[in-house]
Amino acid sequence: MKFKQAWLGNFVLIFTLGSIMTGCSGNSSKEGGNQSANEQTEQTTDDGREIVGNVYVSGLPVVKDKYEFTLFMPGADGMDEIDSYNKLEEITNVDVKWDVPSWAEVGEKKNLMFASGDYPDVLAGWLLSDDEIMKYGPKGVLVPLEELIEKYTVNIKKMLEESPEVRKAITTPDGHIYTIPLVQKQANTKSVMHINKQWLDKLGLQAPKTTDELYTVLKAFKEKDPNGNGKQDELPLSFMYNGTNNSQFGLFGSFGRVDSYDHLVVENGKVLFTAAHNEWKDAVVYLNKLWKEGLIDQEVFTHDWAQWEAKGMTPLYGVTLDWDGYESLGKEHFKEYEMLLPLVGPSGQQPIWPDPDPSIFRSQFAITSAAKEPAAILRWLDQMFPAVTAEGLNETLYGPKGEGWTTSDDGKFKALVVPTPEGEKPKWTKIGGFPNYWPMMEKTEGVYMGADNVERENYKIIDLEKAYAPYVNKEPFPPIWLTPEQQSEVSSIKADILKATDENMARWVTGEGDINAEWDKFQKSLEKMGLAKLLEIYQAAVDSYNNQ
Amino acid sequence: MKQSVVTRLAASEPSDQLVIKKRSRVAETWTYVKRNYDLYLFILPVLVYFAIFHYIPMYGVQLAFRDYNPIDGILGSKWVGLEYFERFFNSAYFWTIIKNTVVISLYSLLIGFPAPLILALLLNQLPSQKYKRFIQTVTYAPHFISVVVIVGILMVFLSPSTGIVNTMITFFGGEPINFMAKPKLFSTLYVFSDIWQTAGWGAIIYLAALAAISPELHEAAMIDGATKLQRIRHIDIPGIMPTVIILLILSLGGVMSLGFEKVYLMQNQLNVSSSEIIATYVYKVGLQNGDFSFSTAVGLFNTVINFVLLVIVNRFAKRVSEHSLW
Repeated sequence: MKFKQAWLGNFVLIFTLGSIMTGCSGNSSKEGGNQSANEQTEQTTDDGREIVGNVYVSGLPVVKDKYEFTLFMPGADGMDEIDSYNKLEEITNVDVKWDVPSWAEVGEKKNLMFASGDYPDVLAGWLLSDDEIMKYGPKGVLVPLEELIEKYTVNIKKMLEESPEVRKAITTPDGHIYTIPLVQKQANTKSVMHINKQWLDKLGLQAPKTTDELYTVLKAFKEKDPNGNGKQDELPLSFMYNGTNNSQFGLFGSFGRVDSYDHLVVENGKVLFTAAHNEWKDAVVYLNKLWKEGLIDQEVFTHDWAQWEAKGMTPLYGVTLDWDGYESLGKEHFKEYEMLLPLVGPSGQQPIWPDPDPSIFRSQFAITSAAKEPAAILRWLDQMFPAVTAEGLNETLYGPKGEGWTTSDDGKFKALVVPTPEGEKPKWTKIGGFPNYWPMMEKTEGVYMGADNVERENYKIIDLEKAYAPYVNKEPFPPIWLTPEQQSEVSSIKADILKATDENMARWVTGEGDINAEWDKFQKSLEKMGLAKLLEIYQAAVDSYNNQ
Repeated sequence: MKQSVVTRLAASEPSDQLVIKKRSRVAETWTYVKRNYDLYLFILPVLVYFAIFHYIPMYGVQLAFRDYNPIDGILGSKWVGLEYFERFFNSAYFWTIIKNTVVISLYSLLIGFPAPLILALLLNQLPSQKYKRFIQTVTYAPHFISVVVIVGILMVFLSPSTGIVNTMITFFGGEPINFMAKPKLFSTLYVFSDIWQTAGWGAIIYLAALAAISPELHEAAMIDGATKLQRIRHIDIPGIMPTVIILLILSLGGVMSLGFEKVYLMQNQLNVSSSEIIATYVYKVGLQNGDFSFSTAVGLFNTVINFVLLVIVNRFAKRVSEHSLW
């Protein structure tokens, strides 16, 4: 029976793919819905405010009759229990139905949603990629927002007026704005290195400055039992392979060029594929050397986040890559570590460290054609931009003045340190990643991670930033747009090339394959997969962005 | 005049008879159906099930030939012909994926197919019924454990630092082996953990077939002085041959379609070079990357191969023995 099931299962696999999509016709009617909402005539109500349909153009509450919309974003559930949002609901008369899947499953859910045509009113968080904005925006899935922003918003409008570069970054080639961006000054690095200070002291070693010294230190960590339990259980170097904030990319910078998730970088205006160059090869050879001696965590290519964290909290890591160290080591153990600066490679040149996420992140918030009252949603969001709303709405997100926030000497908003007791939910909080607008290049405490994380944040934003500043890659990849045609060509080439590169790197580092013997063959296979075409398309897009 | 009428009648007689005959056959069938309507009612749910869940969704297959865009819907998307098939055939991964799929399937067929058969033959020879039932229960119990748990157990047991297997290896002075990270070991781990999980369950069907063999044959053989092995060879095996052949045809038809979940769960960056099979590739391209058309094309290709294999094997089986699916 088992075999028969397998055979049927195969049918089922592709046919469910088919049936998933059976509910797709009938979308066009949805667009008609908001059209009519927009066409409703303006009236003035008793309190002297303008109202269009159910939505007030200004003031609070936002709507006359209670309005409810669905919001889909990655994160952790329990948004309904947070006071801030209940309070916001009271003030605006707008109720949010949260749909908050975990980061692990959100990508798949999103694809199925688009495929079935059954999407929520709002997609928020770091959810939409640039090509999805280009793919779904002009097709009518996302609502163009520029006119609504002009008419209904105060804070968002102000943001666009204050920084023209924000407007430039979010306006798609067809001239529309489909997303409200996340704008904030980012820390100048993502993952940085931390080294176990206690182990160094115990073995009488100095923090390494070059890749050779790192090798010596790691070897001592491995062999001399610095945690003193009589076992060789120390993991001298560990990272998350291609992880978001714990990646190995920075280690490549010691050899002349940093790596990135899709291995694409720009140097002097030219787009390069890192794995097609000898700098990348040298770095892999070095990692292989560490691996052979057991200096890299043997589970580095296979562990998941929970396993990685468990090992970090023990703590077993000698050197680790992390956003701020707290994430993978925990608050207590973090104190046993110190920051490790980028290492000088064999060439003796100044090492490079990967640049951070852009300060303007395009897709913080997008409204889909499923929404009946996009204007009401936009006004609700507008209330949540704390920096520019002076009328006390900071209280929703940070509590009463003096408790969660205060004003600094120059009259600017300043969040206060409010630790959350163990096991409790924070009293006031922002949604992870949104909404956020901070006038660029201004730093105010507590705005990134909420009031209970100020200590971490200051470490990341002030100490780490300063120490790493000389090393950070000066030429980040520009925020280009690809046309849908370019996009479809790129994604099919990229799928193969990235798979080949990542698989081979894992093989070469672990010694399953010999990089020196296979290098030429690998380069030929990259060419065969269309690397030249890929670089050509990206080069054209980068050129046109730079010439704007 | 009269004569001619008679001839005419005579001439028209055969065709009239035919019509009557035909009509009566339809009527006969109908009365037959009416008489046994309850039996037809019984089969109805199955027919409806297959129609709804297996035939109607087939219209989604056209995705493989269209540049699917969710907003335009299935029927509105542009036809692109065989573009996605060409892309798959020209893909750098085509041969790797096909090779992995075939190697793992053939391996599990070669080792995994005889395993329950042997288990059943052995169990059948046990004199103590109590002991036999005990062994049977123990061997088929793992069938009820979910695949996720099985893979979890596998990973815990084989962990390079804390797993029981590696603890034993190091205890006897060996070097620990990171089993899950070795591409070469992937198919073996897959096949043998599969046997561990399913052999007991698979043996049930053979045990049922063995129970149907007349005990007289065994008695006669025993009186003639046949040994146990001789009885297995000349009575048991020929007796369950029809069952074996049918199951073999079915499993050969499924050679290209491995279970998706287990391979996907066991996969990691290090063994992916030998663990990427068609089903996992379809999942990654289709659901994770949202490239539905390409993924459907790959899946359809796989299904077509399976169908062709099934037909060929069935033909072959019909020719060499009398047993076949249809």
